[in-house]
Amino acid sequence: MPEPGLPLFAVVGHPNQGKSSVVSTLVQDDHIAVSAISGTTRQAHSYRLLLDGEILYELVDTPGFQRPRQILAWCAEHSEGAAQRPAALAAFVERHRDDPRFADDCALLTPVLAGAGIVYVVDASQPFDATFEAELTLLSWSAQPRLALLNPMAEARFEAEWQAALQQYFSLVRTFNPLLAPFAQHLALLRAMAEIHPPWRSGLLRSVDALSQQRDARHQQAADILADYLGSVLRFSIHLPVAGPRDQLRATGIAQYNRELQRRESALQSRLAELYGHDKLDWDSEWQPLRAEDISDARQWRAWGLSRRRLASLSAGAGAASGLVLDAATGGASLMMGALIGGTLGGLAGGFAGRDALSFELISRVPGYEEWQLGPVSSLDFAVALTGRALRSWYQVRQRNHARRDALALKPQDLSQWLDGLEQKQQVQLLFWLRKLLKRPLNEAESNQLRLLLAALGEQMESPP
Amino acid sequence: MERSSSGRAFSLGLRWLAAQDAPRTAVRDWRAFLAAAEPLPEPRRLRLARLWPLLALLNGPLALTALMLWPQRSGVHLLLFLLVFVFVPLVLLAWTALSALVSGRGPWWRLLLSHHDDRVIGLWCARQALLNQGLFCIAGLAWLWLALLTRQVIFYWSTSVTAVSESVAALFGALSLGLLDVPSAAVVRAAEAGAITGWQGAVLADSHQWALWLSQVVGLWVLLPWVVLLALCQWCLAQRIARWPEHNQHLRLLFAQAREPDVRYRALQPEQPPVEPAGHDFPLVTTLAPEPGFRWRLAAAGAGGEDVTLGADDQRSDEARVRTAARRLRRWYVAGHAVPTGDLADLLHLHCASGGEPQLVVLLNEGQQDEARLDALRHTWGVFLERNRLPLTLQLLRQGGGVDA
Repeated sequence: MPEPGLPLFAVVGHPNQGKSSVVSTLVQDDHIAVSAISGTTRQAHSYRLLLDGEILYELVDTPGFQRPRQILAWCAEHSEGAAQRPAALAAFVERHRDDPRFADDCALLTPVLAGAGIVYVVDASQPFDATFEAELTLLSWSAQPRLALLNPMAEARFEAEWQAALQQYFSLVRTFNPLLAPFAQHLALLRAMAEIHPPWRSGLLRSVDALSQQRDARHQQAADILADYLGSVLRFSIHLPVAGPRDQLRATGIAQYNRELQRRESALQSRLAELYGHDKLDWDSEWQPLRAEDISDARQWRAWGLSRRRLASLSAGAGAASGLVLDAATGGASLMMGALIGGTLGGLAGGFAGRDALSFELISRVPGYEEWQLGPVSSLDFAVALTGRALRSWYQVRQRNHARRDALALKPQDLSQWLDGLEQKQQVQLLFWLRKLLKRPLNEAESNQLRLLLAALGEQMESPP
Repeated sequence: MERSSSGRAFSLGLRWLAAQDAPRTAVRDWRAFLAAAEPLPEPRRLRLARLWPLLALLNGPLALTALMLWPQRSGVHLLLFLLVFVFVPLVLLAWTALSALVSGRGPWWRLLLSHHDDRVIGLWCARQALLNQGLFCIAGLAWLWLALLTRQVIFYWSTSVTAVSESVAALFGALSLGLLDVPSAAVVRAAEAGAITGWQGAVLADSHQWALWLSQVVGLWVLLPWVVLLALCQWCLAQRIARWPEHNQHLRLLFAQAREPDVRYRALQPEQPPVEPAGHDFPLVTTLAPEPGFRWRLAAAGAGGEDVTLGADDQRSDEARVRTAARRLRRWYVAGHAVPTGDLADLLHLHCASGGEPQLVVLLNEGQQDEARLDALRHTWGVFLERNRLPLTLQLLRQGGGVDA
């Protein structure tokens, strides 16, 4: 147990109500055993939030109640009035600590009797009955600060009934879905926990601040990883010896290139998952439909990018921005022809994306020694598609709560939706930097610009569709 | 060459830049991250770049020696010396320092050291360039004095054109900023140059004064700014190295990957092994012959006249009901949503102890029709019966089956 005065909460309730899911989501740990099978948690497990080594609060995941009605009856017999009930509860635990029949109940009650605040979790899709009443009565007898969470695991048919019952026992009742609640709601829950016991307030509010800052830092770092990934993947090329017909060499090279792209994409996914603490994420099953993808077939990857029309309009803007640099260099003597020509060429490049995804050229660095070079990426369309896929990977780990163990459904059109949330200028800038990347590597300052744009795009992922 | 702490930190940073992966163990801060690079090999190019000042030490005497190749070693030496050892170093110093400190660019040979282009590497290269330029001048001056003492070179300034002499004297005065005494020029008339003898001796005597003056001018215009700029660059370099991840994306990513988070949750107990559904094959039925039974946590509204409702009251009342009806009833109808708990297990044990033969029927609800949920339900009940040592039969009845739920 932490030092006296430090916030301590026990997540308690009936078996299979999602207690471990709540804990898993709050402590951002996907190692916590979560399943639809009742009785998965057999022992209490504690998790501490540390800030530079200092404990901010502790959360205890507990097994579910097994025999609440019997405990209630025992305590009622062993207490003569309200004042003696907490002591009776403690006496029950003391006496039955080694009784295997009450092992789960004692594991649940021990942290509560040690001074933990109570977070009672219940699935609102089931009716309220005497068993739950016994649990609530027992918890109220502990005289500890408490909060109830309605977990809408299925259709919350009995929510009103539960609200009415819970409000008799808890000063705060909140609805919290540990599988789907966005991060802002995690923080809101911690704030609510801060309200039920004033001495713990400052520690929990510090936790909220620290977690919020950590989240922002993770987003920034993820944007950095993505910028680095795009810089490497869009500039990647392989060299092939001149040994055979061109088409045959190209086919061999594309297979090799495809494997490398997939390897880099997997590495990106692993890094992002590690960053957000998803150690057990099963990317293979989530991305199974894409594994057979052939990058030479534009129909396969185009879905991850933008529509041709949108790409053409943004690309025209990016081209015009490039041309403006020339106009500025000539002091306006070019009569804005740079912007005009750049815009036209950009629009054409975006609109007529029929060219190959990768360049394939015979190069000769040393006279007499030619070789084929496949790559880097030459089509803006393909570059945007790769960006869309990378962003989708980010979205998967960014939005995913740690209690989730299932695979997310894939929606390739998300890039367009996220772009909608950006200002037109930012959309054009993103295309501008992608176009630049097709021509040359970005320097630190340029890469930073791209990172900021990706971070802004990431913020759109949090917006409701 | 003795390595300063920033030089050492720079070397460790370059080692990370050459590495692909972050350290295996988490590091607390940037210093620890740099220290973790100790086992990595130092880049060979850095070792070579550190030796470049030696080239400058060689170049200084070479440049001065080249001055002596001038025909007749005339007084033009002085102007050339000023050009090579004052004007060019001054321009180079200013350009190198400004580029590195203001725009973060390194000298052209930065590419030979690393393909990474950041403000730290640029500044380190610039500092190295400054070091080279300063050493070039110092080595040149040292060589000058050696040559002077061995009478290999004589510095003097003479002209037969008075106007030129005045202009040059003004230039020399400006160069010394009025702080240093400029040796006066020996004005030798052209007609006298061949006729009068002895002026060469005077020139020879003045030569040391000129050399001293030249050294002071180099010190004022080159060495003093050099020391100031070098110190400034060194200070900036230490500052930038302390925040190197902000200047280099690759390093930033590696450091972020390796860094122990400030905020983290720590589990106090070891991870619990995952629960794998075992093969509990309870039959799934769609109809069942009607029969009265115990109704565990089911709504009383659906109960028949002979049914006994349990779970709606306290445990002792339920126990009494079970004892009473133990021989008459054998079915236990349980709501699909009701997670089996110890209270139910105790009642089932009581039923057995009272001479009954309980049979469990779980009434599935709408949300429990798919296979995944059915598997989880089967496993839940299987584990429940095993843990409570209840060798009972159990059937799952689909919603809308032959028994009212």
